[in-house]
Amino acid sequence: MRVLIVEDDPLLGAGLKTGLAQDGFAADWVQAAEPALHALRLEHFDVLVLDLGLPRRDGLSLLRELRRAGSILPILILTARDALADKVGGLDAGADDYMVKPFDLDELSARLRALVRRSGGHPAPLLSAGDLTLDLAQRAATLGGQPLTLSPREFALLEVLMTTPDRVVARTRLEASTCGWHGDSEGNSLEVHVHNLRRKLGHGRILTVRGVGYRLVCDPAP
Amino acid sequence: MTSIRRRLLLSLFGLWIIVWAAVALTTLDRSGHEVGELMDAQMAQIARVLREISLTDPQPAENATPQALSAVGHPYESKLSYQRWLGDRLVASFGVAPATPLAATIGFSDQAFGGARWRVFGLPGNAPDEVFYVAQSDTIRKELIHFLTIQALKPILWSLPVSVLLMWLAVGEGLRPLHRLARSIGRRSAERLEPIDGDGVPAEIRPLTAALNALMERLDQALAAERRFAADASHELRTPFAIIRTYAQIARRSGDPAERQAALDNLIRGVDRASRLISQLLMLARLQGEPRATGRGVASLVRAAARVVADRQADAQAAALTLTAAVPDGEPGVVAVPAAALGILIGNLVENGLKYTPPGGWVQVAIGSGRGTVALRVTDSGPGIPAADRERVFDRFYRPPGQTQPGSGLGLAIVRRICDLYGLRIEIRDGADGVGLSVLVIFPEPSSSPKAHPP
Repeated sequence: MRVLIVEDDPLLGAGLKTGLAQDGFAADWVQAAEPALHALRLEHFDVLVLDLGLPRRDGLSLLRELRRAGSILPILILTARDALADKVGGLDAGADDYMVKPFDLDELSARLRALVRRSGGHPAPLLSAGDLTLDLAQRAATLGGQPLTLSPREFALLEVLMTTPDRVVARTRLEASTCGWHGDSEGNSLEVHVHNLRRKLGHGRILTVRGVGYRLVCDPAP
Repeated sequence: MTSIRRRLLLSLFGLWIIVWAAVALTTLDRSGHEVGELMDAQMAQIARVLREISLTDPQPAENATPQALSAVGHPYESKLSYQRWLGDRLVASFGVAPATPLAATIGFSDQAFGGARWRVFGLPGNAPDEVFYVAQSDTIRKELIHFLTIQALKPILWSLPVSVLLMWLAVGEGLRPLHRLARSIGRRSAERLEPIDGDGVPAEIRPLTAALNALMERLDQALAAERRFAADASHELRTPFAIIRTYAQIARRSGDPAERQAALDNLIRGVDRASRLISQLLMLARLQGEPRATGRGVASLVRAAARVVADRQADAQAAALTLTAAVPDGEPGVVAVPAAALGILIGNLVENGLKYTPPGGWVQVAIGSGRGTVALRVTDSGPGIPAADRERVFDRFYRPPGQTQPGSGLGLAIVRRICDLYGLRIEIRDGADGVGLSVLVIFPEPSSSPKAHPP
């Protein structure tokens, strides 16, 4: 799941990025409204965490512009403004959720997952493809009823593939959705993660579409 | 408890008694005098009547014996007496008069006989050696005077309780505006500190309401400072607390020792930021609550600048910056600002310079004087502040766009507040040769102050 964080405070921005990455998000972070618009124009994000008190251009103005442009991106406002009027104003301007600082990382992650789930038309926190299920809330996977141990990266990769089963997902999208802009901190490439996943799921589950990306097969031929 | 009503009543009553006593004494004196005059005139006329009657018997042969009082008459007749002498012969007498002449002189005199005091009038008769004496007991006069006085004073005495009651009511009525004011103040809530309405308040109470209003205004300012502190603190501390909480959670979850260490370091940074923010907010709140105060102490600007520069050397070295002081020799640069406020002022300016100047640069604190002023100049080789932002940087929590250095946005607000408190002028200018920033603070020299030299 790919999240863009818009937060001007350097220390908090870095913390959000690290914390959300721990929860399996591919998190990217910008410090102002303009870079955020730029990033959103160029790349795909599943959810946006937006601070309101930004330098130069306020978060609300960014939010309004996105909604005016017809964006349906789930947006969570994360701000120090705790007044009821701010909350109402933020939600009415098009935000999907509103959290006041200080916040709990677990709650933030859960809310972001819920937002992505609802926007993707999967209200249940459970993804399934054949005998493969993914519990997004518990971050647990099962294969044929048996629990499956996955690394955060592998889980993120599988999540993207399972959201659109039996369809090809571009490798750039997969890379971004699992690692963000700065790549894998362990230095592993997408191929390595796919290789590991194949090993755990069994061959024939993830197919390579040469030059494009990968495809998850729901019911592989035995 | 002192009571205005009681004091007013007592003083009014005392005055009333004094006036009343003076009136009574005057009445007594005047009526005594008038009664005396009237009675003296009567005695003189009786003597003349007796003399006219005596013409029917100009030369009585026999000596007279005093006549006894008859049954027909008045008890007060015993208070009157007369004699007619022809030479040394008493030829007629009435009343309790003795056998000797009632007086030795002609005209009015006061005599004593028969155990009482008498008023006597002697009138020469028709014959050369004839004398008439008419005497009247003093008791009659005294009784009459007392009677008249008491009759005159009776209504006044009767009116005493009525007067006290009326005075009580009048004083109460006079104090009504005070009670009304007390009730209107009593009904106020602690949140309502607007001034008391001065209209309809008597002139005597106006100094009180004016003093109360002044106090109210000071309280309102202090309360506003407290409220602003609470509001600012609850808002501005949210981000540092979010940082602390986020890194605490990261550290708790992380299995990677390096990541945990980094998170803990950042957590401490967040705590430092929060505590620094709190102390700055408190400082600003205290400065905001204080009324404008000048001349509350003097300090040497040179000494204060030297101390700040010495204190911040370690910070400067850590940031790879050169921090220097350029101060005039042997001149203390005394200014009418207490040393503590001076330290905060210079400290905040130097800290800003150190924070925003890139490594390898410099920050300089310079002091100069001239034309009755002392000037402090803090310059740096940093990026400066665009002219458009120069007024706004003094606003609380204002941070220039694109500012990535951590900061509370309070440092310059505190500097501005100190300048306002002590009547200092502050200007932001371009640095030397248009590079960096120059902050100029101009102090009026406390030359008029008698304690112009620090201890």
